Amino acid sequence: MKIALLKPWADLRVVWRQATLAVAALVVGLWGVGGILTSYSVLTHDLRENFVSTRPAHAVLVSPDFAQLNLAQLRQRPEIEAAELRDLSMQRIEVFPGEWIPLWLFGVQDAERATMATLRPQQGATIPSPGTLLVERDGLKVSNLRLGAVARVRAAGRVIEMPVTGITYDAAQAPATQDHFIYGYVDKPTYALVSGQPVNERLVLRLKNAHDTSDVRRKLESLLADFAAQGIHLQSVQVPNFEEHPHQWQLNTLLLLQGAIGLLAFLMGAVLVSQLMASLLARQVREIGIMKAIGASRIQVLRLYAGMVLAMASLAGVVAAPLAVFSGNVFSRFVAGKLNFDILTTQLSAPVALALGAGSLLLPLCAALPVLLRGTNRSVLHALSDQATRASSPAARRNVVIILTMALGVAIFDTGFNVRQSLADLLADMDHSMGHDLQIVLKAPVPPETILPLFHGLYNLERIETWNGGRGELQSHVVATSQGVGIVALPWDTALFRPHVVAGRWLRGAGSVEVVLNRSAADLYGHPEIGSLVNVDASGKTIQAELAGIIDELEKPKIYIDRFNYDAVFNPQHSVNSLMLVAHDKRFDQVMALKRDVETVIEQSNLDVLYVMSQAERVRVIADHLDIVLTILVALSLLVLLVSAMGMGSAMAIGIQERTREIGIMRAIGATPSIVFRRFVGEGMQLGVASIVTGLVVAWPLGAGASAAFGRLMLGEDARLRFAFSPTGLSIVVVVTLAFAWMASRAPARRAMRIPTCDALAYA
Amino acid sequence: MSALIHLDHVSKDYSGPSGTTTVLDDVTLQFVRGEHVAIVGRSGSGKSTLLNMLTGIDHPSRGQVDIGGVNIHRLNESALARWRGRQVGIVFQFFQLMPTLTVEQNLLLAMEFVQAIPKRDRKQRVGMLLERMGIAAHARKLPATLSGGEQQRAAIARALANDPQLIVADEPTGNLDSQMAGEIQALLAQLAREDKTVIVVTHDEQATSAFERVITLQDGRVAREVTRSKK
Repeated sequence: MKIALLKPWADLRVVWRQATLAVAALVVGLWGVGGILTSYSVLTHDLRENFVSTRPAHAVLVSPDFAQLNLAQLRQRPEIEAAELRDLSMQRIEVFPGEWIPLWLFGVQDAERATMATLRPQQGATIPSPGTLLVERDGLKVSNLRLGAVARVRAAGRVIEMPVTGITYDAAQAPATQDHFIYGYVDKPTYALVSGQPVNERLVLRLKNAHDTSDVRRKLESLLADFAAQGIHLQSVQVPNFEEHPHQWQLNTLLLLQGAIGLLAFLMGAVLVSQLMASLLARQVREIGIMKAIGASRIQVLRLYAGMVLAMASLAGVVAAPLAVFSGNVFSRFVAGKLNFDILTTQLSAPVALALGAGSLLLPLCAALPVLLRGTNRSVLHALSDQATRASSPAARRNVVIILTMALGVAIFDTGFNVRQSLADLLADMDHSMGHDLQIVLKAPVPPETILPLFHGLYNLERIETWNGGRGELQSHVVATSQGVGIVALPWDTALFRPHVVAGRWLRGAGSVEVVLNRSAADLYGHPEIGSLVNVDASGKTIQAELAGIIDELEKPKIYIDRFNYDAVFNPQHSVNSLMLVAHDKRFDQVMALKRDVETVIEQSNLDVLYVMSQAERVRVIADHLDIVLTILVALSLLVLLVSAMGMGSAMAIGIQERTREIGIMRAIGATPSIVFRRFVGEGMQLGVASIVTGLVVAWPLGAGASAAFGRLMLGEDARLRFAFSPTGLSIVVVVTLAFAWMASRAPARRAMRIPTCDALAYA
Repeated sequence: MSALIHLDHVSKDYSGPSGTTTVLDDVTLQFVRGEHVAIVGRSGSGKSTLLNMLTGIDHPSRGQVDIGGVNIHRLNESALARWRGRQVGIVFQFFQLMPTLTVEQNLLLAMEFVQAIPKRDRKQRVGMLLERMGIAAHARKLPATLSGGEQQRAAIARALANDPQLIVADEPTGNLDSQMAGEIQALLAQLAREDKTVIVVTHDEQATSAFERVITLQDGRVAREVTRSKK
């Protein structure tokens, strides 16, 4: 072996404990970053491939007049890439005995030859034969539906039994496990029979050479004008986010989290290597001087120490790379399972492998380079002087490094747990904001006197409040939605809805007509000013109202209005479409029992119901959406805490080793081993406490930034999660930090005390 | 005989909190090939500073140092390191061997830095030097396992690794007992007889009998210079 390689190796063997810790920290950091890089490349590519390979719709148009549309002729238009008439209606399906959830029922024609929004058969029939149903595969996870089972579908006020003849995969749909929907596919005649609705009223389109949503809108203009000229009146035009999976936001959140935290973990590992090198160079100042004195140039000396860093980085890379690829693939499969898509990538791409390799070598080297340059820049005269070894590592600076290393880990970990707590609080707020226990939503409004008696006398039912609403639009210069947004007409003084008002106030009954928007609606309509007058359109009528306030809600855009005011303009018959049921006994099993009784009433009465959902289930649906984000958040925060704890431990151990001479002096002037030992462990604990305090202070602005980022991702622009403090997070931080501080000061202090006093005094 | 080393009116000042101190004051000296010179003087007389001037480790405030026709203080750091590696062998009081490398590896490292000895000849040269120093049996040992005298022999072997013309030694026997010190002195004298210029700094005026030339420094100036015939 070349001597120039042998020296770094031999020197590392002397500081093997610290080197091992630094390599371990690098391994953990690289493992995190590598896993993230692997999963990032797999997930972004494969989700897109899964979704885009179905050739998803660029636009969805609904019109009762499509019967007169010549589909073959439409497909000949230059801007049309593909067009299908694919019907969709909301029905209900029994997933377990007595438990019904929404069914998105698609009416498809010749699914096998579909050129867009394609389905991928998984089991059984590839196309639905008359009277049978294909079920989307993710639905199997939330139901007892299986190939060959008989599904009970409730549509048009009756229950229809349909054999499940095939399981299919529709990559374009949000996962059933999160949204608690089932997606079902039937042929057109069966669709008409089951839904009781006409077919061929929903057109899905793909456009040629469209690159984004605005492209799609522009290209649609002439088509829509031609439809109008042909007398085809459109009920709605939907342009989804261009070739973006409905749950892309979850993936984006995860990748943001992974990227940020994983990179930090690795950087901390690199900083740890830098610390080790600083310590090593401080101890080898004289050796550097000697090497220069016997003819080594600065570059040659620099190469020796850079070789040490590269040796540690290579070792970490060799250990971490397979772990990173393995865990990246496992994580990709986990996320793919959650988001219902298939992993298609089987090999690590060359750019990712290259980035992993280069990053693992270059990042630690870059982190250590300033230290190496400084350490090798000393003149021979200075390096050989007595001052050089004494002034190389001042204790104050070393302690600052220790505190900052750990504080960063504490800050990130605490931020992670606080954000997690904020999300938990948000869910609790949601639960608290809704005072009802069950909600029955009807497909069409009905007079309350025809429906309320049906539920009268149900066991555990305290009372029922009726709400109404529909779809409407806030007149806006900013945006025009294709289907409008949800309007909720409720008693202004209802005790069943206690939202968190973020601007203005909630509805007041007396005086003028008012509306309240949730944050998503405020985003959608360009943040109209509180107190301004806005026009709300619905059912072809318009009402002018004052914007009273904006509320926080993890929901789609909604407009809230007092029911009296709504009825006065839009609903003179005072019909209702939502029944809000309040139970006496709010325990989960009792509410579920009430829900089953409600379902029985619905079955017997043939009510046409869109869905029945308990508040507990609603919160669970949202919690399921956040579950994956929260799990990853906690895992990655722990990773950072671990790496920083290792960093602190390593820096502390180096610090104590450098004070071996001081230990010798203390012992020479009469300090017993236990006094020395207590002193160093005490100092270690003080540094640990200082790290915790500093970390918690840093966690404050970090938490604000993270809340803003998560708020934007989940609640809309300008939204922030309410800052929350997690006692669990703090407890873990305190225990882990102090445990590492204790171990990191105890072990080297014990080792230093084993050195004979005379040797300790001679320690350079 | 033409001089190998010319020190021409060399002075060195150091600035400190209490003002400027002149450590070397207008020193002019010449050394020829094969000379065996002792530089003696009390602590603070300027001995080590003079040695640092000769090895290019420190720069004169005034005057110049010419060694083998090269004004060494006009060289940049990298050229100076190359020059030093090829032309000067330094022996330190505390041996200053690389503690994590074996004796043999210490010599090879010096050769690898300088690249003056062809790669294929290095092992053989290491063997020869260690044999000559009487420590061939310790070639594979770490410095810490050797006695002080053995370590200093290893350090001299390292100083000779690249076959330099000039050997400078800073208190090479200061850390050794008298018997070991005698052996080391003899080794250095032998090198001078082989046409190496050997300049040794020592504070022990009693130990200068073996030198053909003794320069005494006092307050940074050459106070006395005694030349004896070669033994």
